[in-house]
Amino acid sequence: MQRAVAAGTKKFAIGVGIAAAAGAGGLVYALEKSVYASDHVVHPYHLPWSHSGKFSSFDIASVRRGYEVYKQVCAACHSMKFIHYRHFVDTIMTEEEAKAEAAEATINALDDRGQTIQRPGILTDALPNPYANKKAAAAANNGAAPPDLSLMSLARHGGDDYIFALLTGYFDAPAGVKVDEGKAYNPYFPGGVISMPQQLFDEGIEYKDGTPATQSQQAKDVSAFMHWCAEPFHDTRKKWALKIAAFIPFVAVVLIYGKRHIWTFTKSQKFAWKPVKGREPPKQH
Amino acid sequence: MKGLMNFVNSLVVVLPSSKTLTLSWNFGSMLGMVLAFQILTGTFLAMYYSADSLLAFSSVQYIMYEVNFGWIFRIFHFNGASLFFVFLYLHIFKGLFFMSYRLKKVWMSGLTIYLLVMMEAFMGYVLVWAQMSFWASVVITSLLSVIPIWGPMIVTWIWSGFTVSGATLKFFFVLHFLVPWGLLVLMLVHLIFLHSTGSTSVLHCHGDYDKVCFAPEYWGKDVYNILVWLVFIVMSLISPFVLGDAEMFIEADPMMSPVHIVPEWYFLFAYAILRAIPNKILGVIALLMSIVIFYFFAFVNNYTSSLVKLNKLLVFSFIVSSVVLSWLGQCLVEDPFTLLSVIFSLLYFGLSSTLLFVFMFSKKLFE
Repeated sequence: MQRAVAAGTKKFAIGVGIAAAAGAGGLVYALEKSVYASDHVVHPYHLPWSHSGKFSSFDIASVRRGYEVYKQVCAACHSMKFIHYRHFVDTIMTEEEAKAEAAEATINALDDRGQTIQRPGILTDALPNPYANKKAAAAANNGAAPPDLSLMSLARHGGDDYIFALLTGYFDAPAGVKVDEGKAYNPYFPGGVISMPQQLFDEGIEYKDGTPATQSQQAKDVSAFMHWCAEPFHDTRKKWALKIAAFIPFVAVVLIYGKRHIWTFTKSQKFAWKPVKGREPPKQH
Repeated sequence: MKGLMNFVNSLVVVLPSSKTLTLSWNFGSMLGMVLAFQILTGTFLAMYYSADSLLAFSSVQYIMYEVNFGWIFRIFHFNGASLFFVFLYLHIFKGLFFMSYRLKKVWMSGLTIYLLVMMEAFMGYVLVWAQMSFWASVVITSLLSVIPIWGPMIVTWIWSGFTVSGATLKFFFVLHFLVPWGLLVLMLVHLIFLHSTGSTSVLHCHGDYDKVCFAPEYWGKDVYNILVWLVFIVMSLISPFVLGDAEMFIEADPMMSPVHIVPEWYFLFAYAILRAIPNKILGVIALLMSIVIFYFFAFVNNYTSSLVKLNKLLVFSFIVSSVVLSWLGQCLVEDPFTLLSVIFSLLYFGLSSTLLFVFMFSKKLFE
């Protein structure tokens, strides 16, 4: 009877537990999938990036083209203060190519007498900042300073998808949305009104490798480049992850075997109660 | 030296241990491993970090971009904090499941470690000096202003000024560097308290009969932690930023707060409780009580009987309510989330109080 009650209690407890967990899970799922008017933004669509897989690496050709887009279009207003030309060496360019890229840039520096000069860049230089400081950047752009793009891919919800959607998401403002002079309507930008007008157009630039420079191609390439800039170690970390993951089964076999070997004696112990002659338990009547 | 060897020997070699300790008893040793790992990676990061409001964010990026393998140390360090909390929560839930609070000193020292780890993680989060961490520090330090009489003075003292500034950052950095050593000592104290009596076992039989030596049996079992740690390493390398917020990649701007301030996942349940109550003082008290309530479990004086299944059901429900609260903590402050936060906060406190009262009831039932 006691055992039956205990079994019943256990089944009841498990039933209640599962029902509670399923109820809570269902509630969270339903609310997560709901759309709220307060969102005030169109969420970017998910794109199949070649580097988004667990062990996928960057499409370096795309990253290189993305650099061309950045240099010819974005660099006029946006800095990349954490990226130096040396970062390009043996990653997305050869050393000669990186040196040539740096030499094309004009760097503000001081000469031996402390005078401001302009000189061609070298590998140790950061990508040049188009403005002297944040206030100058804001003053030149209707009061909104263009953000630094080094970490942009990680600094926005949606990451690469957001950047692509934003760059290709310029539309005429719908009725009721007021867009001030010098601003543009972009539903992917929080609030919908952005200070940056549309920058990418079909054949707006010409790629060195001959790839047709459509708007979406440029957006894709510059998104890949920005992601590369945000984490140049991206490919290395995934390569290491794969190596360590491959190592885990072997470690598991050794550890599990070792543990079972150590516990063999304890786990296979058997206790026996043998009656001693003259000290037998009382017989039941 | 011989005395030290004997001490270590008694602590982790010849210690009589119950045979029934399952893998759930690995959580504690895993936490020790993670603490050591965090101290190691943190010390490396401290070599390159600058606790200056103008340089902090750039110095973190310097570690990511310039320091040889600096990125890997930072990825491990900030994901290590999450790993710490995963096992901390598992450890606490295991304690509740198996009523480990019968070991009063162990329970109390463990809860104090938990509070210190929360403080430590929060300060480490602020050090990045990014938008989210800066504004989180503004929100959390301001909470102290509700302390009667000394509140505003304490806040000004912690800020080292009249707002969160570079001086506050330095204050946090020094504490973030020092507290782990205190944690290490406290963890040793926790271990000494535990090993002076031995662990609670699954069978709730705590006598000193039929035990095995801690080594090699439990060394063989604790070494399983390496597997979990390797899985953590792989996950950190595959998706290092998945638990963080995008605002952690934007340098702190004291003139512009983020639209939506959200703490790290391990504080979300407490944040949801704080937001559920519109009154600031009551909110802060509820936030504090969400952890302090567990100290009351040390007052449970019932070793003779326990309603194990009821206890397990309550603990399970408590875990579900904590998970839902954590999800609510990152939702917008609007209906239905505000209402749900109130309901689940009440559930959180209701269930944790019921867990306590079950003992009073069971004691009366079996006496």
